[in-house]
Amino acid sequence: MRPLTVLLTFLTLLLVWPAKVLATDALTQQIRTAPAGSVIELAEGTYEGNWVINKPLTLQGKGKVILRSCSSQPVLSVSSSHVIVKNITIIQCSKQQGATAITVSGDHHQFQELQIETSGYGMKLDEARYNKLAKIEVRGTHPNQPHNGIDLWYSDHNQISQVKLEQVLDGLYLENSHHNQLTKNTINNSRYGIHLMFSDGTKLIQNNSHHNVAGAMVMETNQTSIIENDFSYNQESYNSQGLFFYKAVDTDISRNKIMHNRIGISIDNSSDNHFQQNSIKSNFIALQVNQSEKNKIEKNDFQGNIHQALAISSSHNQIKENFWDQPLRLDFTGDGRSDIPFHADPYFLSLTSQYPAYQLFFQSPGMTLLERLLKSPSSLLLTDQQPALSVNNLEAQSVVSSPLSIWLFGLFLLTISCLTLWTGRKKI
Amino acid sequence: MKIWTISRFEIRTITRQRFFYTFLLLWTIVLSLILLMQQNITSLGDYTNLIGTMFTLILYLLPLTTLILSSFSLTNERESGQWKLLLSYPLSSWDYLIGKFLGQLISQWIILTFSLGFGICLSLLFGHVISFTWALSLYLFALLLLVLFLIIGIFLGVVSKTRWQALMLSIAVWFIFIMIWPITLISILSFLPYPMIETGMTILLFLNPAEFVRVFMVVQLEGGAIFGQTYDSLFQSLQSWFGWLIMLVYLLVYTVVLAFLTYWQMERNKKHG
Repeated sequence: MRPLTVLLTFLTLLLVWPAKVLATDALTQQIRTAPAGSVIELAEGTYEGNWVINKPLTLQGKGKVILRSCSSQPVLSVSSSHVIVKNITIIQCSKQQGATAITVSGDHHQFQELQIETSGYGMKLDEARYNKLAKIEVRGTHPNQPHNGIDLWYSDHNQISQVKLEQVLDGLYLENSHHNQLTKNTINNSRYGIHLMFSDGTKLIQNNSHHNVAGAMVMETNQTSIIENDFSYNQESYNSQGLFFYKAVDTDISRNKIMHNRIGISIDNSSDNHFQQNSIKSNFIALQVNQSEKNKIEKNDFQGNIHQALAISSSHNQIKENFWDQPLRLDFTGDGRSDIPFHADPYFLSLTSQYPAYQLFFQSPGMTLLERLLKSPSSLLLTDQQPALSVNNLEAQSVVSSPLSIWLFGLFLLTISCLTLWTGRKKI
Repeated sequence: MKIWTISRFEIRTITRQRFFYTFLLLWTIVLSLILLMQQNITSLGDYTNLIGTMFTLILYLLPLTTLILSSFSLTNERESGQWKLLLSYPLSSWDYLIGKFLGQLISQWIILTFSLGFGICLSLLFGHVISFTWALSLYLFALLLLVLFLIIGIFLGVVSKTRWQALMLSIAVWFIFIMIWPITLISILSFLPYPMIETGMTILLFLNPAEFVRVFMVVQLEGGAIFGQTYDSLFQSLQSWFGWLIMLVYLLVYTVVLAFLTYWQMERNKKHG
C-alpha cells in the first residue's frame, strides 16, 4: 500500500502545487508585462507571494481574491502613479516585526474595497501624495505587538474615507504629513484612534473612534479641523482621553460628540484653538487644561460629567456661553446667559498630580470645604463668566419617562414610614 | 422582651416629641429640594457629578442629625433622672443599649424613609425622570450612614453626662469625620514617606465610616475609576457581591467594637453613679 500512497501524494502535488505557483508566477509575469494603463482582473482564489506594481495599472479582484504572504516583504508594493487596487483581500502573516501588507509611494493611486489582515502594518504611505483610500478594512492579527493600521510618512493631500480599523496600534497615524482628509472612518479597540504628529492642515470629519486608549491624539500640529466626529467610550487606560491636544495650534473643533471617556478633552501646551458646539457628556473629567492659553471654548455642552473641568496655569482662555450642568443658574439681566460664573479650581488637580493617593478625596465633603478655603486667586481660575442657561446644541432627545417601579418605590417608602409612625405613636 | 419594651418606649417617646417633627420637616424639605434640583440631566444611570453632589449634601446633614438625636436620647434620660429609675429595675446594660439602638434606628428610619419617599413622589409629580438604581442607591447610602452614625451617637450619649456635652461631642465628631477629614489626613500623612501615603490612606479610610460608605457607594455605582489608578485593583474587587460582603463585615466589626466600648462605659457609669 505504501508505494501507492506515496505515488498518489506525488501525483496530487504535481497536479496542485505547480498550478498555484504557476498562478502566482503568472500574476507576477502579468504585472511585469502589462502595458501601462491596462486592467488586470484576478480570478477567484488564493495567491501566495509578494508583488511590486511600479507603473499605472488597475488590479481588480473578481469574487474572493486573496493575496497572501508570510515573508517580511510587503505583500503588495505600489509606486509610480495612478495605480488602482480594488476588491482584494490581503493577508500579511509574517512573524517579523514591521512587516507590512501594502506599501505605497508615488501619487494619485486609488485603493478601494480592500480587506487587510496583518500581523504588522496595514498600509504604509511613504512620500505618497494625492491618493484615495476608501472602504478598506484593516484588522490586526498580532494583538501583543500591534502596528499602525494606516501609517502616513511625509505624505500629503491624501483622502482616507470609510476605512474600518480594528486591533491595531494607532488606527490612522500621520507624521509630517500635511493637508490630508480623513472622513467617516471607524477605529475600534486600538491604542490611539487617530494620531497626528507634526502634520498641518488635516481635516477630520465624521470619524468614529471608540474603545481605544485615546480617541484622537493631536500633537504639534497647525490648522487641524476636527468636525462632527464621535470620540466615545475611550476608557482602556487610566489616562484615556477622547481628544488630546499637545502643542496644537489653531485647531477648529466643532460639533463633535465626546462621551463616556475617562477624560473628554485634554489640552496641553496648546494655544489659539477654537472649541465650539461640542457635546461633552458622561466623562469622568470633561475638560482638562494644562498650560494652555488663548484658546476659545464656547457654546459647548457639558452634561452628566463627573468632574467638569480642571485647569492648571491656564487662565487666559476665552471661555463663554457653555452649558455646565451645575445646579445654580440665574439670569438677572435677561440676556439668556447665567449671571453666576462657572469656576474650575486647579487645587485638586495639582494636589493629586503630586500625590495620586489623595485622589480618594474626590468629591469628599471635606475636600469641597478645603477647596473653598484655599481658593486660588480668580486670575488663576478657569472661568466661564456667562454660562448658558440651557443646552446649546439640542438633539432630538427621546422623551424618557420614569419607570413605574420608581413610582412604586416612592409610594412604598411613604406608606411604610407612615404606617410605622402610626403604630409607633400608639399606646403600648 | 425587655429589649423590645425599651425600644417600643423609645419610639413612642420620640414620635410624640415636637423636635421629631421638626427634623422630619427639615429632612423632607432638604431631600425634596435635592431631588428637584436634578433637572435637564440626560443620563442618570450610574455615578454622575450630580449624585456626587447629593452624597455630599447628605453627608453634611445626616451624620450630624443622627449623632445629635441619638446622643440626646441617652443624656436626656440621665438629666431627667429616668436613667436612675431604670437602674432600679433588673435590666442589663445590653438590654438597655440594644433597646435604645433599635428604638432610635426605627424612629430615625421613619424620618429618612418618609422624606425620601416624599421627595421622590414630588419630583415625579413635577415630571422629573428618576432612575430606580439611582434612587435606591441614594436610599442605601443614607441607610448605611444612619446605622453607622447611630452607633457612634449612642456611644457619645453614654460617654457624656449632660446634653450640652453630648452636643459638643457630636459636633466635634461630625466636624472631624466630615468637614476636616481631608485636611487632617493630608497634614498627618505628610509626615510619612511618599510610598506609604497610599497604604496610610487605605487604612484610614476604614476608620471613617462616612468616607468608607461614600467610597463604597461610588465604587458600587461603577465610578471607582474617579479615585485614580492607585486604587484600581482594590476597587475592582469591591465592585461585586464581594464588595457587599466586605461592607457586611465592616458593619459587624464596627458595631461589635463600638458596642463593647459603649457597654464598658455604661458599666463604669453604673458603678460611679
